[in-house]
Amino acid sequence: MKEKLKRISEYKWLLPQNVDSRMKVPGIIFVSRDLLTQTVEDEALVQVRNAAMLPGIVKASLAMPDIHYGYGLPIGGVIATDWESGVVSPGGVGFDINCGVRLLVTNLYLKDIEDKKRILVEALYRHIPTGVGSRGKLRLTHSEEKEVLARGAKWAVEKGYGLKKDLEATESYGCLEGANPEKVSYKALERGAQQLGTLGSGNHFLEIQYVDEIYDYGLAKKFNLEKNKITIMIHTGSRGLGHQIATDYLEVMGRALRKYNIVLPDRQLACAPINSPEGQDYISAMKCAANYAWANRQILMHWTREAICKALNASPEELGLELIYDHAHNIVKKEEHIVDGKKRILAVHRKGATRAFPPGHPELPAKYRSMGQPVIIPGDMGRYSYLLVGTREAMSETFGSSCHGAGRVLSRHKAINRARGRSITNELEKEGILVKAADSRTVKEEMPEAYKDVSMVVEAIAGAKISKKVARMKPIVVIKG
Amino acid sequence: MKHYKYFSTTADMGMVVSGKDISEIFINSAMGMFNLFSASENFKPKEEFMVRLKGENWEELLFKWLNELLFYYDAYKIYFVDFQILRIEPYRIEALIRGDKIENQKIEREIKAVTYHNLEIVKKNNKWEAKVLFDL
Repeated sequence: MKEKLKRISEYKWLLPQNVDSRMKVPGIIFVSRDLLTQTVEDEALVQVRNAAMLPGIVKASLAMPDIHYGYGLPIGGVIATDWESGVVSPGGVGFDINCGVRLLVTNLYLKDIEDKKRILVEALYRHIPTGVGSRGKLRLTHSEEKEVLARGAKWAVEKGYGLKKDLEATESYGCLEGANPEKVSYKALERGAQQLGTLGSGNHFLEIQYVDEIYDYGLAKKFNLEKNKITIMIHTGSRGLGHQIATDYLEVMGRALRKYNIVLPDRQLACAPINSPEGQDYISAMKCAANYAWANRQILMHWTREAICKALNASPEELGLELIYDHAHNIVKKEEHIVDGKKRILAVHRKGATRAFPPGHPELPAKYRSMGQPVIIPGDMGRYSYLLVGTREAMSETFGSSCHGAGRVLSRHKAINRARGRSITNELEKEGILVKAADSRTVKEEMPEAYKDVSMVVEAIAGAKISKKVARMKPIVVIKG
Repeated sequence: MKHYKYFSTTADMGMVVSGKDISEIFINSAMGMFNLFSASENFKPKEEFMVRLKGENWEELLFKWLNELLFYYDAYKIYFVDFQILRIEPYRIEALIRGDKIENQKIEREIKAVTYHNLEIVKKNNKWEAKVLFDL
């Protein structure tokens, strides 16, 4: 498939529509030549092509620079379908609905905690439920859980997990309207009942970081960021609840394909018209999972505050933990976009892609209206993560979407082989990064060299002007599941 | 000899399962999935559940079967060690599954979901083979 690509500009490649007669639109991949030749699998491009066959797809099947092979839509895939005549596809969102990141800034500087990293890693590890088979400290009845599903981070704030102003700094204010818990299965509720307030395992993490590079001083100042400032990043999603909802609706959509006579080359892309009972039910249930994930990250932020205050013997005011932003990178949303000069209402599917609205967008909270939406791009645990903001080009090129992270370059198996005979924890400690995880296997599988250098991805997204770099953060304390 | 073999993609993992009949495919797939979670042998067949499922083809039935087991594992923390298939026919399965509550045994890995991606069950030369990919 790679040989079919045509270079449009330095960071933009076209997969022509005539590659396959079933394609309804072309594919567009935002990627540098280096990333394309070194990291993009041919199968991922096949998935870009497959997504271009979805009924009602608008403009193009898009992929961000961190594109890699996924299920249905590739990771890094963005597609928009017409809200009236198009379909919605759970495979265009992924299993971990509203997997996302939250970036916090503190009043502290690197020098304040450099000798307290050990205390901090232990305190966070104790206080934040992590790891495989982990259950939270919360036990919800199904009726309480349904409240979480309907109200998201608002529920968490009302229960005392954080502050009202945190909602202002959360995509969609931490709650999608129209979430209907009655569309969520008993199984999903059972899986979710004991997992609220848990980080999970795999690539999910909580990091203490410091700002090591500023690219836009004006914007950084507005975010209260300066060199050596301590930040915290939380990466997790909707846990078993979201996975079950995705699984349940994958089956529903499989039947819908036959019912609505939709032919697709990959069952994992199964979909239904948005205006069908199946489509509407999925959207309602997907919103529930999204809300659960926002509540989850809100609760984890609150416990992070408690753990750090206790470890440093500091008051919440001294710590001054503020939410910069929280956004999803696996979601489908109803949005207004201009396509060929006309206003259209679209279902924008982002799978391993981040919303990146430009300055002036009405959906942004007042404090970010002039700056553009914060776009948080986590990297691996040994290098760095980035903060960027959305741009007008994102709006016109990618339905207001950006990349979401580094993406793996080594399979888990290869990573473990590469790490044989090494202590990744010790190697990272020598570089000033303390890592604590339940299992050394996780640390090996997640070691820095298992991931692409996120700066390559960020250079491509910034080069394509889809987002603008603000600051770079380096990890110093990491807890992993 | 183990009747399942794991393989890795860049981001995830899957398994190729073999069996002399369809029944073995279902049993070996279940064993393969649980061995991915943990290789510990300290799980006993203490708790018993009945599973009854139907699908529209073998692939869908296998997808449902593995997801059913994953549900018990994730929601109730039960590691299954024994799978007794009482009835299997196109495309229904009825089975007794036995397992143990996870307490202190080491769990090495979680999966988010069983996927439909390239899911296939084929019969060649009197031998059955299935391919399943997990989302980690």
